[in-house]
Amino acid sequence: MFKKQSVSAYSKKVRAREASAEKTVTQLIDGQREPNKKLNAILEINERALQRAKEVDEGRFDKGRLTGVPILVKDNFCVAGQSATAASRILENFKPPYTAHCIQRLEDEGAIIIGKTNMDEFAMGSSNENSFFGPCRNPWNLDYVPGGSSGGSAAAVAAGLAPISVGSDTGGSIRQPASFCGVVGIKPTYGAVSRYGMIAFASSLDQAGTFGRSVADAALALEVMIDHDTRDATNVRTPFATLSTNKSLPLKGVRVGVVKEYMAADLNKELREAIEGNIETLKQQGCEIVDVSLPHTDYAIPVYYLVAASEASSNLSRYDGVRYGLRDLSSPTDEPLQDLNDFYKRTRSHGFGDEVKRRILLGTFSLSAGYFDAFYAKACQVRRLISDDFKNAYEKCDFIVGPVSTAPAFKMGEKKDDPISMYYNDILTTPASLAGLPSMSLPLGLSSERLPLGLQVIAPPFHDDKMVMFANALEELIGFTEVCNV
Amino acid sequence: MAAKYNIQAIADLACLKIEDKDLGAFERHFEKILEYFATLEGVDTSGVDPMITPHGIQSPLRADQVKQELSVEKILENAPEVKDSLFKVPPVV
Repeated sequence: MFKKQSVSAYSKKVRAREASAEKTVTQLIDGQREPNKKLNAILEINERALQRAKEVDEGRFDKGRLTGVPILVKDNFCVAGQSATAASRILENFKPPYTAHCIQRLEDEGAIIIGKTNMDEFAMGSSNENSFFGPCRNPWNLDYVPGGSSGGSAAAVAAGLAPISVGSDTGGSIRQPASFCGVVGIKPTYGAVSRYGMIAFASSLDQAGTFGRSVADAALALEVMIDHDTRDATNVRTPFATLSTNKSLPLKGVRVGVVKEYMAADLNKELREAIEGNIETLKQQGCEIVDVSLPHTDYAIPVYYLVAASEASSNLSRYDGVRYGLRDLSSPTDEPLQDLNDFYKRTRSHGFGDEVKRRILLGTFSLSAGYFDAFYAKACQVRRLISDDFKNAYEKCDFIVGPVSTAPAFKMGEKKDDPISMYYNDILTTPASLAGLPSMSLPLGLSSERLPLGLQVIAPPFHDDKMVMFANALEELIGFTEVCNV
Repeated sequence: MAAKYNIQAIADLACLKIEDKDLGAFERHFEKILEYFATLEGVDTSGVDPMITPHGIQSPLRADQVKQELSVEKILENAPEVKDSLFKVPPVV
């Protein structure tokens, strides 16, 4: 029902009583059952969604920008009364008593949260294979990964299980799954969306964002989520109050940067051709194509993984089995508890998966006495150089366009036991994350194997509105209309 | 940056226990990751100000006001074990 209809058009109909939110929500909840058995994209359906849809139909939210719009939310956001597991055993039974600020904003505008989506445990992964609840699959081909960590949110929108979903992006966790699943995914400037109520992974990188079938859909939900909130100390007042969801930037004279290092990467042939074709089209439309260089790109992976793991090792120390979440004190040898540290260790070792443990270990190591300067501090210095690379590039161009990943989706299991190869996935998304820049992924076409190809747009900080307008223009030019059937 | 490390000692700092059967895999991965990360060594960072958070965001101060947010009962609903409005843990001494 949302394949050809924008969410704003649908919402208008609900407000005019020409469409029923209850009917829509019922259809979506009934309709997801069969496809979700194959995809494992949705972890939990919100039992209160129907009741809320009835309230919407009764006119309680007639002034909302998202009246009656069904939305799926990644399982690392708190929604009061619903589970928030971050796809980890350690939070399997956690039901937060409060709602994340950005999700509350969506609800205040009349949106209906219909469920929670699968993800890599604590958002650590690029394939959604690290979920305690089993992997999510790519709706274009079930043998392939949907990307990660917001794999469930991307796959659900691609499969039509909801028109919009919310995700989080720490090093590419919205953009990469959006590109693997052929949907639009937007990560705003760091600080634009409050992180209050979003389960922390790496606090200087984590940023909430949205998925949609179109730029306008994803941008409308994001616009609602962007709000100043004093409960997140890194949240900022953005210079824009709304996003131009339906305006296209006139392309004539726009300076489009093409990153030498991104195009020199070992890119898949079809993906390269699609990107180069798009750049050529932009040139024909009057854009000025500018070659730019981000010389520290090669260091983005070590820097990202050191910074993110260090922050994660600190953030995840809160899971101790005392106040909330899992408490599992069992031991294979039935030994009695030795001391308080043993108490913590047992629960944490039972509760976290291997990738989470690996990153906690890496972060603990890089923050430990004797290694701090060589690892964490050094990574923070190189992070500055990566950020400065972008500053220099934006003196010559207005936006950067390029690939999101080096290839389309890969097969399930292909990289699972090779962390370096999995980490390398993020080479083209982590630089913008480290610099805190707004960036997004747009579907560009399909490969010969019918797997989606994505285009990344990166804008200067707080140019989110301009980026959306540019993306609207790109979307018109690309004219991607393919849909997948699950 | 040929760092020497002991996985069990790091795990101890992180309050994690790595089972003996998993130790080999963790060590192998750790070694590969650190080897890759050693490329940072070659970057000249003399005089570079470390970047801790984007856009130079400074933590703002707010008025210290008492607010009623969540009730104790609500918070305790997620606790593994509770006694008399307190988190209960087994004796470990």
